[in-house]
Amino acid sequence: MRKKLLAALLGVSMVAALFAGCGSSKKSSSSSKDSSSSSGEVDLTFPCIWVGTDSKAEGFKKIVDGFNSENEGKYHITIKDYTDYDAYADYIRTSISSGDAPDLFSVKTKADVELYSQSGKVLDLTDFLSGDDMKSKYSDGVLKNEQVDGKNYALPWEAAVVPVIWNGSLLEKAGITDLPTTTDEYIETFDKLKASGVSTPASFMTASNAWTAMLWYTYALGEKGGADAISGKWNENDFIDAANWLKEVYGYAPSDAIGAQAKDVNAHFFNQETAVYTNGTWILSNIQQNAADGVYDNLKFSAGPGNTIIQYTQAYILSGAVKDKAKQKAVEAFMTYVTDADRLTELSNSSGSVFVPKENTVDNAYVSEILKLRDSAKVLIPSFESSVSTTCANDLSPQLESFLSGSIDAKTFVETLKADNEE
Amino acid sequence: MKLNKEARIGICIFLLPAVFLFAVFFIYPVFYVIVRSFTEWNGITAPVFNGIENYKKILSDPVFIHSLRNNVIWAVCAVVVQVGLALLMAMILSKQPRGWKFFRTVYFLPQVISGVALAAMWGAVYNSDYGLLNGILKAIGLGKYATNWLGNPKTAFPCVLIYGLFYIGYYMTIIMAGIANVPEDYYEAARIDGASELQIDFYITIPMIKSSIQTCVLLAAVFGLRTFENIYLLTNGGPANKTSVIVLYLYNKMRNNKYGIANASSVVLIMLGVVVIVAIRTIFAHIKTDEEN
Amino acid sequence: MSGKKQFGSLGSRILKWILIIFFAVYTLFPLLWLFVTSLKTNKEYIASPFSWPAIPQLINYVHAWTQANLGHMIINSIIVAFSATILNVFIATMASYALSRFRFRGREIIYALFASGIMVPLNAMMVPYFMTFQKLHLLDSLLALIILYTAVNLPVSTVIIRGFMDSFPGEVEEAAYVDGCGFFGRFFKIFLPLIRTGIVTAATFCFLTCWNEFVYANLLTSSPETKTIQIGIRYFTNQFSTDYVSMYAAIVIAMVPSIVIYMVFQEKIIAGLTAGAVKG
Repeated sequence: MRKKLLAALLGVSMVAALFAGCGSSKKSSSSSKDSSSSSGEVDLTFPCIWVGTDSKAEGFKKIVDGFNSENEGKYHITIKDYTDYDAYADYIRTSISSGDAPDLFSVKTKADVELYSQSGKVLDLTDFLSGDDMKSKYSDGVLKNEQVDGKNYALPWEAAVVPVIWNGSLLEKAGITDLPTTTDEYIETFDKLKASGVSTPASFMTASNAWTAMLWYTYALGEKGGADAISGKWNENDFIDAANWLKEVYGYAPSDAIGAQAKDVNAHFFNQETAVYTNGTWILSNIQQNAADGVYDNLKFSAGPGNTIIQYTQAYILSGAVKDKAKQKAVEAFMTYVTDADRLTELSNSSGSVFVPKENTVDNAYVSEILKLRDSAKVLIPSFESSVSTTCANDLSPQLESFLSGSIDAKTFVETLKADNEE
Repeated sequence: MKLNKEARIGICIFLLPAVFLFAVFFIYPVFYVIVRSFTEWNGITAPVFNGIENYKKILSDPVFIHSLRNNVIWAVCAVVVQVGLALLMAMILSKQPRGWKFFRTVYFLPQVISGVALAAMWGAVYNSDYGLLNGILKAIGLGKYATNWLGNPKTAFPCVLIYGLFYIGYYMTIIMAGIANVPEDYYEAARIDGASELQIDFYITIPMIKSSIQTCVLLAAVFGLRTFENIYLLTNGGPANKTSVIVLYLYNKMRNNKYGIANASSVVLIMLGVVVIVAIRTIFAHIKTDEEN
Repeated sequence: MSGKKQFGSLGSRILKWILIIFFAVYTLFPLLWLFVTSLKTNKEYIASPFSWPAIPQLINYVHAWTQANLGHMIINSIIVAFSATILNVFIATMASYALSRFRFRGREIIYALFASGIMVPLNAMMVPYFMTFQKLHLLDSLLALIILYTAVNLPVSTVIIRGFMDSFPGEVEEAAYVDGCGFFGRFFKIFLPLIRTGIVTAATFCFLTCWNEFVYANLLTSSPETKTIQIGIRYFTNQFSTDYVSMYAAIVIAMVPSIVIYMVFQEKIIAGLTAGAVKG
């Protein structure tokens, strides 16, 4: 028996040793990479979400591969795949909390940029971005607007441009030719759609980040308070009016609106159960692939109430290479490379995404139509979620659900969010 | 039984690896969490000591209290319903009716299915628009009871709780293994004495598997208190935090970069767990079985 | 087998079969749903989650297997889950033996501490665990996952195995004492064989927990060489959309090894039950 135990113990320790071996051999391979860096090549690790089934995956890989081959022997980017966005955010936050930010990584809100810049582990890009080359790639004031305490810690990269998206066939059936331009007209249009047989015309969801509801709320605030309605000082009456309008829209939503997730909202629009939808340009390829026949071909676009278009930066690229000068050069080279107008245009064409740095004319007819709507919009407003504190953004869903189900009134709803935002 | 030297050394050797891993992966991190529960900390900049402020905050936060309440309901239902059903079905299957191996594996399957798929399916069952449940209700003429199950503040929590209570495979596996361990002579003696099947079940099997039942009760209670994944995937705490539980609460606080409050919630949760574990062990120690008398 | 005589009256027999069938249907339903859905197109799934596919899309499985590189991930998961399970039940069994069969000061305190480990919300431990493996220079290695899974499953395994240990009356070792067995002798000669079913039960659960763990698999590994199956399942989600049907196909593929493991492990317990077939 003792022999058996001994054998078992030996077996276990051998297994363990084997893996220890694996671990160390892996490390030696990575240290061999380090040694190759002494021969000249600087390796940057980029934990990245633009991989897998992301619509930008293919195009982004092409860019990275292009960069690596152009800079062979000099710089090299190693992409680490992260497909689940929440898990990616956990990973970034944990590694910075534990002492190191990755060489390159992305975040989605300015609130995150502010938070991480306090860690001292994020590279200050102010000088690099104020150079003529980089500066010329952005419209005036954009880079300044993205500063935290007068410094740029992040490269504003992917933009969200969010129009109102309509099902053209259902509009036609309801005899609607002119798309609404004010909050009141929106409600009239919903009534017409309803009369034509679309019993639940408006897309709406409240679960998780309350995405669709959050966008409706942003439009209404844009109409009432203009571009800095949310990022400036809150006018409580505007917020209450907008909340009441939101509740009206909810009245036109499918029965599962409270508690609905993104997939439910998509499903209703894709299956023509709702006639109006709002989301960023990235959703177009999803509609094309998964919506009922004819939906994609008959899409119509408009600005939101008050000729408002939602636009904000939804992906920033940051660097944790604070100590290593050689890595900083590589980071700058890469950031220069991924903000090149031709490359971004190509990526827009292949993915439907749009970008903060200037691009050339985009081929995709729908995307370019949406960009035209943006250029002629009266109000360009960043989304509610991207303008408020993290706590406020995350509290929107439960507060909205309380408000819509009648357990709190509009005033309490707005005051709670305001307190969250000031925290 | 007095411990001789060999036993004392043996105990030390046998406990050492477990104690070591426990120290590194539980005591140290929990200590780390406790220390930081007395600070205001965003996870990035240096923590600032703020006394028991976080504890005051969570105990006066209705969402935390509601989450706690949900956890307690969950734990009680798991102990009573889930373990109760598991015991019943374990006794039935242990008598090896036709196809029992098949059924035992089937009952365990929900344990094997990824939570992502399970949540997606139950979300679709409960959906008010295209959901199966409302479809069935309408088909059998009970359409007036159809509702937005996961969006209605009254029905959301019961719905999230109930479906999992009938997944009994985990506890049934433990109890069946316990039954397998009962020495045969006990049954033979009983049968010679002319005991009925029901008497054998109640007077022999159940007392003999007392410790398996205790294990299940303890695990069910504790799993109920720390339940997270299915709620996170199914409702993410909504509507209006009605289905929130403590681990979800603290996870959301972490997402809001309020690590101090998240850590204080962890500490409350762990303390609650210790109380429940000690209580369950004490209660079971007082349930005397014949064999122990 | 003495199947016939076990069952009581007709009424109780009917009730028994109603229960058996109810639970079987209830638990098979999600599995059936998952399998059917994994054969649909995304369009069909979005149009109606409870319909049959017009044409079964076996291509989803091809996508799942090839795009997400599941083969390699399954091998990694098997390595991690097996190593962690073996280490875990080994350590837990030793600890349970000491805690169950001997009375010493502090025994209940140690046990309560161990058991309360189940309560520790692992999601809140991301920073300390990450730092631990950073210090050990084990980030991005399978060994990190093996060590972590061994450790975090100790409380549950100890509770289960100790529960089985406790179920044996004191006479068991009194007899052994007479035979002259010491601490180690009793463990190996008497208890290891006796609590085989308990060990297998704990091992089953430990294996499945390792197999299904995602949060730390995602946090502690980053290279393709070290990714495990749960990451493979999430290959089909991204920030804005999910390829549901391929994901479900990946989930079905990921389930197969764990079902096989369950059935193989449980044969051990069946052996125990069959030996006692006459008992009830």
